[in-house]
Amino acid sequence: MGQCLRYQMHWEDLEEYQALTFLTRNEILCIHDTFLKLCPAGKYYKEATLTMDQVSSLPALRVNPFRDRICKVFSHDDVFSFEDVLSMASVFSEQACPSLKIEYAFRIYDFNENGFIDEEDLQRIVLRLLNSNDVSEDMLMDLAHHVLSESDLDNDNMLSFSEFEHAMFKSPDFMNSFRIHFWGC
Amino acid sequence: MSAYYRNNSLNGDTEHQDSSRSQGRTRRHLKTQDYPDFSGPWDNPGYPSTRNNPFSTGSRTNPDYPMSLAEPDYPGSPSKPDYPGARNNPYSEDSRTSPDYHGSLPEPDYIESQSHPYHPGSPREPDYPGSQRNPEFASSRSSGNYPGSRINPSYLGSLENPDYPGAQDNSNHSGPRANSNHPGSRRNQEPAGSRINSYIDDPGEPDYPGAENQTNFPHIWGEPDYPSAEDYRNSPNIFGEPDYPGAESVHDYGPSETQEMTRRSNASLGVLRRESEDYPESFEMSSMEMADSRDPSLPGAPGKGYVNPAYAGEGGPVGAYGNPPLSEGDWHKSPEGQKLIASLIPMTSRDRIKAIRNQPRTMEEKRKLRKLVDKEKSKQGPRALEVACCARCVHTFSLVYRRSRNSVSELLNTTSLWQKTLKVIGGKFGTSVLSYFSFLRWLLKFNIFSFIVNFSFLVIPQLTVAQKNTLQFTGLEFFTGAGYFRDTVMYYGFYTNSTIRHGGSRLAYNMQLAYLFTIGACLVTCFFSLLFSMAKYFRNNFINPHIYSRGIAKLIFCWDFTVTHEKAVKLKQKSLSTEIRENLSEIRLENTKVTFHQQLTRLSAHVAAWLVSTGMAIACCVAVYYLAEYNSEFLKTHQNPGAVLLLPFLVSCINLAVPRLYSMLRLVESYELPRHEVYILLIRNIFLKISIIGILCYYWLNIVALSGEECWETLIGQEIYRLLLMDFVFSLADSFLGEFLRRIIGKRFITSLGLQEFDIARNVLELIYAQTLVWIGMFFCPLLPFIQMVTLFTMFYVKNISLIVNFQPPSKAWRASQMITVFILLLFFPSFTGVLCTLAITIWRLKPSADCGPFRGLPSFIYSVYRWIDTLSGRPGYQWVVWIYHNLIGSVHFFFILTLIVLIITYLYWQITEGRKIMIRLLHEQIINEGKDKMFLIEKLIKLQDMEKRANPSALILERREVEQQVPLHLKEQAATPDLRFRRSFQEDNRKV
Repeated sequence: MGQCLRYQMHWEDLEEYQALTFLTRNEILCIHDTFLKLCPAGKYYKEATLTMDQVSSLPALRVNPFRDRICKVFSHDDVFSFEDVLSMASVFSEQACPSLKIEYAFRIYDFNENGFIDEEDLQRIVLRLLNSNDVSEDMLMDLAHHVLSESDLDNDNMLSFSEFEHAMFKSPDFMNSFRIHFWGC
Repeated sequence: MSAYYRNNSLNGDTEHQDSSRSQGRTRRHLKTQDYPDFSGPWDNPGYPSTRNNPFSTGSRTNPDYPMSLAEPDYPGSPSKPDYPGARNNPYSEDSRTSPDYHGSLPEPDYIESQSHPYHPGSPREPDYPGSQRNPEFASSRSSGNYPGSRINPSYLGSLENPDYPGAQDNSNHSGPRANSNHPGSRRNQEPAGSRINSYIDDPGEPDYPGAENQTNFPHIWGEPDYPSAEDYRNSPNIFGEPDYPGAESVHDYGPSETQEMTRRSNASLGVLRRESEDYPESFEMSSMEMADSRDPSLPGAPGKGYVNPAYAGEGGPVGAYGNPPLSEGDWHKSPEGQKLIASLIPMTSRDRIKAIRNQPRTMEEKRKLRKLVDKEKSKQGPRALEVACCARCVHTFSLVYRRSRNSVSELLNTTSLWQKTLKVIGGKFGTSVLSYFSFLRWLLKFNIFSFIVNFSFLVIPQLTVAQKNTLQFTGLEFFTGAGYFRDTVMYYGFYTNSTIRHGGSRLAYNMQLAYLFTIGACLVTCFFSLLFSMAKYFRNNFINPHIYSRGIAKLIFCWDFTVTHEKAVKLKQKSLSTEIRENLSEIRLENTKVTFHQQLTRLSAHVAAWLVSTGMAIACCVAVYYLAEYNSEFLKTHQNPGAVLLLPFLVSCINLAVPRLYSMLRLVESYELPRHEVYILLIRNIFLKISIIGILCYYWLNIVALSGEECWETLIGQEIYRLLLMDFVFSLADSFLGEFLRRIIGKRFITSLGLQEFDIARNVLELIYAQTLVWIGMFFCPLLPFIQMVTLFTMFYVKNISLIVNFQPPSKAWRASQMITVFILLLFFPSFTGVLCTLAITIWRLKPSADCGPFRGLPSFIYSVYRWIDTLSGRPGYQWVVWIYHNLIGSVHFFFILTLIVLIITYLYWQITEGRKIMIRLLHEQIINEGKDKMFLIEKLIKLQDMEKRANPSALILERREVEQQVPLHLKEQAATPDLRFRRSFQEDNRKV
């Protein structure tokens, strides 16, 4: 694991990143540093990419039960460019607006990527949340059923995006908890 | 493109087997929907007349049909004029509208065509019309979505368009089908035909990323060298043929071809299956979204401008999110992209950046979007050229401004206290513990503000005229606050009552007014900032929190992403597991009735606990009161200056011990909800603390102030200082000794205890208690905010260290945001309002001490203001102040009217919220009802379909056999010259015509 060529980030680039993300200058520079530490040697940071493994082993994601989903949602062709990392950090930043957070949360929770959070997704979420082996099938079914009965407005046994959005907008804890502060420095 | 479709279909092929079983349900009910359309011909008396001719034309048109299908959307398609008949045909009309039949089923036609293979039995067909024709369907079909899609074809493009061709296919093969059915020919082959049709339909689909691809659609259809398409083109003919009497050519078509077709169509079915999985809801969703994005006025606003491309545009099997290659960079060329750009142009650059930032897209796309918008903008404004120079100036200026603002906010961010520490705490202990520290920081900011105000308006002016302090400094003063400190700026007694005037300047500084107004300004600022933050928290955190739900969804979706510590994650998972279990058991509990006996036991336990806790609080109050009274007697005779610490010590002991006793009460009481337990504990604790402060206030105002002591204000100030200091010392000791010992015990000796958890409620209440003391004491000891500032600053680090060393993350799930709201409410309601009452009594009722302080000699504190107004009324320039004082502040009438107005407004708002609540309930019911409607219809369809399926299989088998027998003979010919074959059948058709 070498390091990228230590190009200074261009001033204009930095400004553009600031305009396009919710990150502050320091945060961008910090992520830049982290990125440089990981990426393959001898490459300009804009061209370099990180693998999913590298990103999911970042301290911010290392222990997150949804890290693979996060990586999947934010990467392109299974690799992270610097900008992908930035947009990931942007979504998880404190300043990001609720609708953006909800949008990405929905994608993260939609394991089978069918555009809905259905029972299968819910059970997988619960399994990841509890991370224990003694979760009975009954309980899983029960939980999924309860979640759906709470939030599934049109009784089709799936949460569509708008239903999810509706539920999350009512939950202030979501906004506080769907954040990652710590990107390595 | 075509290759891509192929792949898709081939992939689908493998899935088909199981899909037909597992997903058959959706498909089935969808299919049944279309029967009415098919049955159309049967019901229609006008049909027979067209039967002979149109069939041939119908089958003829089949091959080209797809083109004409696309027409409504692709006006350029050349085939349009060729099919007037088909278009005018009532069936085609009918079936064209059919796709939208039913809101939730955007692609009934695919599904229908899919289902054909299973229900080819022509004899049964006629049954359906009667049993299935549902007038409601028809109406919803024509009125519902179709017009919508017309109006807004671009947005729903991907959903609606596919329907289009499919629907028309239906109309089409309804021709041949009716045909074949008619003579009762068992060799009815259109099932296959329709299958093929479905294939033709769906290739466009999987890829269909948005309206963009629309243009590709016709090409695919029209593509002459697209082999499969060609085959299929022919196929309708083939299948149409058997219906013509004497059309022997049917037998020309070898089995392999049919098999191949079946395979392909199967493949398409696989694809379709996946789609049908996706669509029913994605349709709804996009229609909901549509409401948003259609609104042109607010498209950029967060939440509104949010065009959901993933769902609207790419509902295909490729994956709802994975952008198909085509849409990757070009989405902005699509209509919704265009719309977004159009909406972005009129915005100010700041809003635009914000809106772009809020787009859920990759950086590259955002950048492109930004460039595009900028370009459009520059294109749009030709006037800009005239004022180019000016514009450039403005641009540079705004750029400079933005940069400087950025750097300023950077600077503020870096100076923002404990940013990093808070992040670390959040990472290790989650949001709940973090909320304690942010509350602490919030209070610290309060105190910094108060200190700055007090220091600059009271302390500095006083220092300029300070007399020499003759008292001796021993060091014990730090604890007692007495002695040396008595004659410093710290206490009320030291301040002068004169007007400060320096040199010969005319500027005068009235200390009395400054004292009152400074303290008043501090309190008013605190009041408003409390009020606003409370309102903000209430708005954000109590938006109908538990009307319809118990919050399991929130539990599941609100994983704390801030936690980045492995141990914390493990603990959190464990605690979440217990909480989920608890929640589930609660739900079960709700259903089980508690017996009367149990209820009685529980109730008596609660009553007993309340009695004990209240009694304890009252006993504490009495003890404090008598001690205070006795103490003042005792101190007169006692010489040791340390003796004054007795009362604060007792109070701190009470504060330390009693809350712990309270939390033990939970062993007796068993609350069903842990949340209730926390709230009850909070109420008891706050009751204890506030009543202790209340009794002390009573003692100060009624005993100390009236006792004729020299400079009683300073005495009160000292007392409060001691209380505060003792509280601080106790907290430190608690952190360093208590918590440390507890950890040692938990780790070494009684391992079953384990590590302790950070008790957020108790800690926050300690903060509230201290803050209340500071507010009360501010009047008697203007530098108290400074002391509190130091205290809080130290406490932050001490608690931080103690937290990291001694504690584990809380195992109870803690609704952080709601708890913080409650804390601020508590800080506002008993604490701050109590302080205001106390100070109001002091200022209006009490007589200031005669020999010290700025108000010496006055009958009451407020008298200084009266006197000031009197002097002002003598000066002509200040009449307005006098007028304001007399008519607004001093007038009872004004306050009466004001109160009345406020009450009326409050009442109106209350009524409005009541109305909204009803509205919300109604809307919620409506949504539920619509869902029920949908389920009902779907169930009905399933039932019908089951009926049909039960009736059909034999026919299906029969038919297959038939086909297989016929096919082998003419395999080669067909394979070699598909075109020829097509032509021939075409000619035959013509001949017949």
